[in-house]
Amino acid sequence: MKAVLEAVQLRKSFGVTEALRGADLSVHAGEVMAVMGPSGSGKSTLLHCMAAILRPDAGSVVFDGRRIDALGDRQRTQLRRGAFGFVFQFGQLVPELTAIENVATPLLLAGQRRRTAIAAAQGWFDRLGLAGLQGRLPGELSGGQAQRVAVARALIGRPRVVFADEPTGALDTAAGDDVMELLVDAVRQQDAAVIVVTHEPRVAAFADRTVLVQDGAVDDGAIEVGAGAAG
Amino acid sequence: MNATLWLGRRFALLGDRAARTRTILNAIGVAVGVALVLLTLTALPSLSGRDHRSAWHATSAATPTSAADRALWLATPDHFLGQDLFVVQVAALGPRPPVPPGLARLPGPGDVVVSPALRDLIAATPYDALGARFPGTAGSVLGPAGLAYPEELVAIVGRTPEQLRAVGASEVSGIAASAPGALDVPVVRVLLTIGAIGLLVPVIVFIATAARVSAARREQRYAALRLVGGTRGQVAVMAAVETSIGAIGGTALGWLAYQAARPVVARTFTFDGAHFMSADVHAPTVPQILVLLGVPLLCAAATVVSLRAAQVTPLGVTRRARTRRPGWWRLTPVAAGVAGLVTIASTDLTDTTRSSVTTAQLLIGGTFGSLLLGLILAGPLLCSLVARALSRFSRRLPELMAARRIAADPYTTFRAVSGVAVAALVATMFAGSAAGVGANLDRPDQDALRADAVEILLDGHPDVPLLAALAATPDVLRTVVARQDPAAPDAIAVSCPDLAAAVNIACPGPPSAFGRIPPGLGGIRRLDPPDLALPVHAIYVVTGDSSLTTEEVRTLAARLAPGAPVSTGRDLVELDRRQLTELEAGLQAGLIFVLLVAAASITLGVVAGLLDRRRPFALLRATGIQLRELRRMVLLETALPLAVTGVFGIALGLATSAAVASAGSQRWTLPGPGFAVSVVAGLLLTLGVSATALPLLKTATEPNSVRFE
Repeated sequence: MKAVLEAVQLRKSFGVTEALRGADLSVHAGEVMAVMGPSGSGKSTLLHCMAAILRPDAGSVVFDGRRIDALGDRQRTQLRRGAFGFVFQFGQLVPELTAIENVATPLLLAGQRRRTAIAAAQGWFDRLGLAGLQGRLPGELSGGQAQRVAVARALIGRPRVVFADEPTGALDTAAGDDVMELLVDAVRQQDAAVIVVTHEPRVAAFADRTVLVQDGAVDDGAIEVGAGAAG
Repeated sequence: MNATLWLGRRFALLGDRAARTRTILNAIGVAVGVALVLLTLTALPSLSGRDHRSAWHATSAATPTSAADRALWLATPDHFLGQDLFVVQVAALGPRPPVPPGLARLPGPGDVVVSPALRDLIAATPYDALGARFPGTAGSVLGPAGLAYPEELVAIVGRTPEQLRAVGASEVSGIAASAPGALDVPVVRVLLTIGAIGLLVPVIVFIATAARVSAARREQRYAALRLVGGTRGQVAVMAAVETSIGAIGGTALGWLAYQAARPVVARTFTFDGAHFMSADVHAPTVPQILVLLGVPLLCAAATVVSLRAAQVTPLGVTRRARTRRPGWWRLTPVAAGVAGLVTIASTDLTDTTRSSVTTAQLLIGGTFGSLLLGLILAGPLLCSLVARALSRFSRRLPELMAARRIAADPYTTFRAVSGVAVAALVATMFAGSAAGVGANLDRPDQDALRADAVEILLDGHPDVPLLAALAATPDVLRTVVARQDPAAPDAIAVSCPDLAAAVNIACPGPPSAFGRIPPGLGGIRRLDPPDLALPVHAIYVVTGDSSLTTEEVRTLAARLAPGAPVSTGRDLVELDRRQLTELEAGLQAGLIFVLLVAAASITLGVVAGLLDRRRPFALLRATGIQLRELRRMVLLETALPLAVTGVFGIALGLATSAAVASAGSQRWTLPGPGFAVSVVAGLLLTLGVSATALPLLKTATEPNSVRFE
């Protein structure tokens, strides 16, 4: 099967610190992949480079047969808006917008009419068990509810790849499992790929495949096939 | 509506409480700033409006024709107890003579038209001291169109043509519509411009600070939008729309506040001893439109620029901190300004030839510009140097942290206090000049009229009745007659000891000219005893300290030698004193205004800094730093740059006033203790007001602030 997203020999430094030292990784459509590793190993940097957030110093990132690592800011922004979705640990919801407006944001930014975007967002509230919370501000939501809103926002644009960086890091176990279940179910229905960066084995257990990042490179020897708990 | 625009509007108006508070704070800041800018812009129109209103006073035979018939016109500037009094005697020479503004027709012989203030003054003053100057029937009152300012004293006295021809009145065929005024004096324009800069810089800093309240939180939000696909352009548009909404609301509020304040300003502020007509207190239309359109644009631009300065990435915000230390080159403009001061000090500003005036204007303007630019450029360098010194010698954590923070970004640190530094420069410059003027006033002017003497320039007016009347006036101490030889019109003949009773001269004087002498006299030739056959040129009357006697002498002169110019030593001294008092009062008001704006600005800056750093502060508290130590740190971050750059501005202001005093051959002294107390109290007050933001530190750094969400 052909990879939907592939990173080849990625290198990335921040000043004198080498975060990535030739990392290779690929993910296929419909695949849920967990990226684990100790703190400072470079797993988040790898995710950010593959998600067109950071530009690698060397190596390539290929999405759907097209190199995206050297694209300009505008094209990378278009990719993030249309082809990718994001669920991070925190700092992702806009505090001034209601939950439903947060979910509709990618469509609004893409130029859709507000009524259409809000209507599209409405469907996700029922689907993710958020009914009744549409008008709440992020500050009025619990951590689990906020993450489910973030999942809805990540999926509303029907992305090809969803990037999740410690999506359950700020949640208790039950809420974390709940969010992961919703996320994995939803992306499978859309045949999207998911890359989850986590240090929690419970979260990795939801993945089809788990890879280990160590010292800025993907440790091939440590690759294991996950149980695919949700699948 | 475009979604980007909608989101911008949404963030400004319909966000959470914090967003609304931020918008309201921005709007209030902009409103205060706009009102102050517009009121500052009223200064020139107020003065030029007054000049324009009083232009008719300059009517003369040379005034262009505007009426079908002619009139006889004799204008006499007069005074009453230190107040200017304009008296014009008129006689129509036909049915349609020129008529001054504020009148429906010229008063006929025996009719007197007075301004409302003069009407009230006459009613409240003994007749011999004032009312007797305007013989006739007091009829109508001069309308507002004929008044330069509300309390102006004006009398238009109707006479017969024969009466006026006898005293040499001019024939006029029109009323002057323009005349040189205060604003035509280049130095006044330069000084007003400098004053306006001193007032406007703190206001602009205030507006910019208001626009940046909670900037960090806003930038975080835009980072979140960048993550989900917002382009840099979309984010810039949203930020611009968000800020513009607060700014537009604030601008509208500011304009309303300006309109409401106009009559208050007209009633409150004085120039040359007089208030302003409300209609004259208005900002010119074009600058007003520029401010109303420009301020929201400026705020939007400031927000977009600050977003550019912060790298808003999908992962958050990294501020592009200018890590480069401010270089020594920043002292170059100050050095150029100091060189300019040295040049000014060696220039003769009393030379009033056109080329000299232009050179002096360029020199003063260029030097002040260099000093101002130098202060703004050198400010960050000074902050950096002091912070580095403090970090080297500090022993306690709050001092060290404050020093490190200032040293890390001395540019932002200085920006917060730059308004105070500029105001300190301008205020000290004016205060130094005022102190010098005061010192010169206290020194008796050689060859000037004594304060208790009245000079009546007769030159052709009958002298006998006046001398007889003066002799019969009980409170007149002495009368000195100066005669003139028609063959030598540039000299007068007078006994030196007699003249010394009325004029500050030493006797025996030089045998010919005494140099600068009372107004109207070109030179004095001493003749002891004077030739009594020569016609009388002037009468000097020594009245003692009684102001009322002086006014009675004036009244006698007006009655018995109508049109003869009368002046007193007190007039000149009082005019100077009045202007000095006004300068000092204006300075105080300007200083209070600037310090209040600066205090508000710094307070906003402290609030914004606390809100932006609530997490790091909360973490510091969580790790054991006490609240009072954080407070000391925050206060030090403000007090240190405030003191350093304020002292620098004061030093430059003192140097400027000393140089200008030297160039004008004036004595210079340090501003009095009152000014020093005002400055220190003002700076402490500024710091005190900004300290009112400190209670926020407690709530903003509660332990739950260490949480990310």
